[in-house]
Amino acid sequence: MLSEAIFTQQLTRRYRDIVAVNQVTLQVPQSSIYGFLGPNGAGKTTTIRLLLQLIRPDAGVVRVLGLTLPKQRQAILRQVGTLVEMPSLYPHLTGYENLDITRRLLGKERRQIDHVLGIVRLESAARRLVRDYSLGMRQRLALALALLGDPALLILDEPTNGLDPAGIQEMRALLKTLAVERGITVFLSSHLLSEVEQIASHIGILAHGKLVFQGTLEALRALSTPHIRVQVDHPDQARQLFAQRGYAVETDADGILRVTNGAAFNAAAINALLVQNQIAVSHLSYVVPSLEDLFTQLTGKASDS
Amino acid sequence: MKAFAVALQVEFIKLRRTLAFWMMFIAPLGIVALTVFFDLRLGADVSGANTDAWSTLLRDTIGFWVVLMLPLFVALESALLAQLEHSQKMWKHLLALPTWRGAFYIAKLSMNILLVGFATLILFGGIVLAGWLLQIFNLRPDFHWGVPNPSWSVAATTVLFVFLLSWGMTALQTYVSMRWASFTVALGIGILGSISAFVFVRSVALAQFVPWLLPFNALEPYIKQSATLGVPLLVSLLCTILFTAFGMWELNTRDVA
Repeated sequence: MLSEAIFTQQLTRRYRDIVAVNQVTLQVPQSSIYGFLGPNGAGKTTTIRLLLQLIRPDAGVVRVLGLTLPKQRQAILRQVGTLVEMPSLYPHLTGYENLDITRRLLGKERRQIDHVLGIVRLESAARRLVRDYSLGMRQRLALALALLGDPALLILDEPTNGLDPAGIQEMRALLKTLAVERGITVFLSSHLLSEVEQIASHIGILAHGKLVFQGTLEALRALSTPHIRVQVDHPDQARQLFAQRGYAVETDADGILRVTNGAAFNAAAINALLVQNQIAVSHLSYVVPSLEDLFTQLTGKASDS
Repeated sequence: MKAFAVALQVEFIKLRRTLAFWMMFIAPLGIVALTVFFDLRLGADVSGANTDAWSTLLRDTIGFWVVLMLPLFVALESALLAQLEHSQKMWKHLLALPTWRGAFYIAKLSMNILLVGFATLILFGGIVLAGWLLQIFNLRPDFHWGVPNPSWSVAATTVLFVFLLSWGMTALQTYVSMRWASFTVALGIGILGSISAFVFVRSVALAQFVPWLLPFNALEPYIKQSATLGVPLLVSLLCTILFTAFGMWELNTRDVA
């Protein structure tokens, strides 16, 4: 059995002077839901286009389901369902006709249309023109198109774009079902960690074309180190004191001290230390950063470097 | 071959409820109506006192079609068909399917050629229907409706050659429409071609080599002046092969943004 549904090595793509994807090495395990995260413009869509050979890489290797691009392109695409950015649909045709076009090109039987319409719960609207569909219905129809070929891997680029909260929840539940009940690997890009952390088992974070984190959701959480935020009347004196006592300390832009570790790493001990040394404490709190903070920190660091 | 057959079936589905489909009827029947209007108004002045009405109707309608409408029709149809993909960013979906990319291109070109073929048939049918209606209602008693001279078969051969000679410009316009997403570029080039057709309408030499002018060679004045249709037919075929090869290569190597 294959261990990785997607594997890339040193994948690179340039647009003139801009390196849109910079030596990205992805490892997406089979049957996982892989959240591919990054701020807008990080290179997520470019990476997805490279995985589907919609664009060609300047360097690197792409292996999907154990097959290599570009040599085995057709064999790969036969097993992959895709939704790249906003849904691509013919608005002058009905939902059914849109599905029929893709079905014929995939060489699937007609009954597969009813099957996928059932999965995305769009049976009653199938005979309506797509131009009359709501955005949520279009998104579901696009997902049905991706499912038509009975794929082993779904590559979805921002599939919840433009959906309302109920639609997002519905899409999330649907993807979870597909992964759990059908064993489909889902590679899902998003710029919102909050959206992905509820369903993803694995996370990859891209910033400025570079992969700055890759691993399980638990591994990402483990990176989140707690710290104590301290606001005092004499920050320089306090820094000196912390350094003498073996605490690691950083100063925020707004002058607040961030104590990240030390011998007695608790708020009470730190407060006592400051007060004993005649330093007035105006604010002290124990902070466990959220994944969102961590995401901002990771993507921010990449931009600094 | 199977990929092409499926891609062509798909083109027929995509044609439903489109302006491109309706244009296939509107353009030729519009030309028939225009010719009937002119011939009814001017009658013998246009046709010459001793010419039979069928020949006049055939000659004028096919002439108007070739000079006024065909280059614009080809440009419009190919631009409209290509816009089905460009406007909805369909290429990122279609080219991520396990189909040979060239099949999409050949299917699109074939559909454009078929639309021109159907329009040509509708034009011919429209002429017959218009002549029949004019006889029934007898709007111009001075028109003589006998056996056309030249015969029906000559007229049918003429429209067949017009169709075959239009392949070159159809291939060119298909290439332009598929290569550039802008509707304006595709139609703009078609309009330039139409204007050139109109400006150089009397140039027998140019008509043998310029794609938009090639169908002129099937018309009576050109046949009288040039010995054979061989050269223009060959040029039409070469244009078709050349632009199809360009188009397939471009689609095969295209980066889908």
